[in-house]
Amino acid sequence: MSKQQLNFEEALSELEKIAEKLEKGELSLEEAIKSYEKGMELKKICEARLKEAEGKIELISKSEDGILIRESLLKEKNKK
Amino acid sequence: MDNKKIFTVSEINQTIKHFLQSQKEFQHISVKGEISNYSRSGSGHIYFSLKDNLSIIRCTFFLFAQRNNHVSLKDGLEVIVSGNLNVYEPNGTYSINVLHVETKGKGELLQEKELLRKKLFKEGLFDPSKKKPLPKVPLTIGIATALGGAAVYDMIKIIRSRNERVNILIAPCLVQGEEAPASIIGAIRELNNPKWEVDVIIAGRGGGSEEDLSAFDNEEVVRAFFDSRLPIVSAVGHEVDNVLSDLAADVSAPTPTAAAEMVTPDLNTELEYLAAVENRLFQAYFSHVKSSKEKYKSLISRYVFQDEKQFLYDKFQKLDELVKNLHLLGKNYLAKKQTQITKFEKLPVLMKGQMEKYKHRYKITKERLENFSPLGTLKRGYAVVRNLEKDVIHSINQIEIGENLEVILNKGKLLVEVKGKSK
Repeated sequence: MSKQQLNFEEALSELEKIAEKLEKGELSLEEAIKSYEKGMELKKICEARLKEAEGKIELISKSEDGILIRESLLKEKNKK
Repeated sequence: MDNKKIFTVSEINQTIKHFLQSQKEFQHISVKGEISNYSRSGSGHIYFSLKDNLSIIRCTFFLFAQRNNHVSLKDGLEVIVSGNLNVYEPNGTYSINVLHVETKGKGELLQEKELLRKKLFKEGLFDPSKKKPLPKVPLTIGIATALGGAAVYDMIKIIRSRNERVNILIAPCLVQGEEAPASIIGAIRELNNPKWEVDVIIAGRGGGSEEDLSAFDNEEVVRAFFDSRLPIVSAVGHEVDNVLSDLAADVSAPTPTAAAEMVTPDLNTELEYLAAVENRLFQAYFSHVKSSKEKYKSLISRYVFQDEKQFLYDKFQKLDELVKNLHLLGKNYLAKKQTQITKFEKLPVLMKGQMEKYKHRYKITKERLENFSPLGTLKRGYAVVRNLEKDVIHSINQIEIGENLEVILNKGKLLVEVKGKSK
């Protein structure tokens, strides 16, 4: 599975595994460096996934021609 | 007729009132029926009749008794009223003074709900193994609820307070009344449509009477929860309310706000956790590098690395030893070769002796040979006679008189002529 396709859960669980492995201290120095680099990469993926959404608030409503469309709820939210 | 007591109207009504109201079985009665002739006075008191297919009875529902009422009364509604029987003397009528109203068939409804629960349970709609886990970080949260209710705004508020990034998509639906079940089912199905890219669904509503929540006990609605392709949270009413959709959903939340909390990752908490894992990663890495460094240090602190000259001296000494050994080896080798060479120097002497031996043996052998050769015989005075063709003559038959013959002596040859022969 390529790094780009990893979802948050997958990336996080891999990151946790790497942290554990590193903590056990059984790796060679070279492996440790590689693991650390991979861990940092996974951490970035996790962060990116957390911030991926755009914070939209919408509702599904029927347009005039009867098609279901997205409509921003911001107007109604402002009313409240 | 004379003996019979004649009542005034008031008297008889009073007597009836007294009689009825003294009967304990007419106090605290419960009566079920359908509401008709509903009216509400300006003072807030409610008047209606309760009927079944044969009979009708008047009811009064005074304002003071309405405080705990949650049922919205209207004509045609089947209810069970509880209260006391009361006679209104001026009109000579009796009625039920209502103290409590509940929807008709609460017990029946409960029974039906229980039957449905058992049926769906048997079908496996509540099977824990069929429950889908909620995504830890959804991009879009779908909400199926009434747009006008407080629940939707409470949920948005909670979601935004935890996470300013996650998208919210609301599928508005009716959550009570006759059309509610179809509307809720439609909203859940729509949110499951991949085109909206929803990751998790919350379906529900805020608190209300049991009747208000009953749409979430509807069989088809419960099935829609179970059939949801996406993980779905049932969020209906308050903690105390139990609806069947709670059992069929992947997760049941006590309230809509609790549902919002469940599905929304707290951005700060998650980021803090990530930072903590990153820190763990760094600490572990750092200590790894540190211990490697220490290993290196302890290694180079060994004398060979600490004093390079000493190391070199040691090496020189070793080299000297090696050279010395080499010399020794060379010497030994040479000595060995010398011995071998000395042996070769004796060779001519050895050879001379050998040659003498051979010479002697040759002489003896030669003498012995000579004794056996015809030449040896000639030496002793014998001679060999051959004709001119070199044939050795053994008999007189081989020769003619007058023939020339050769006589070989020990020293020299004779040529002779045969004068005669005899036997």
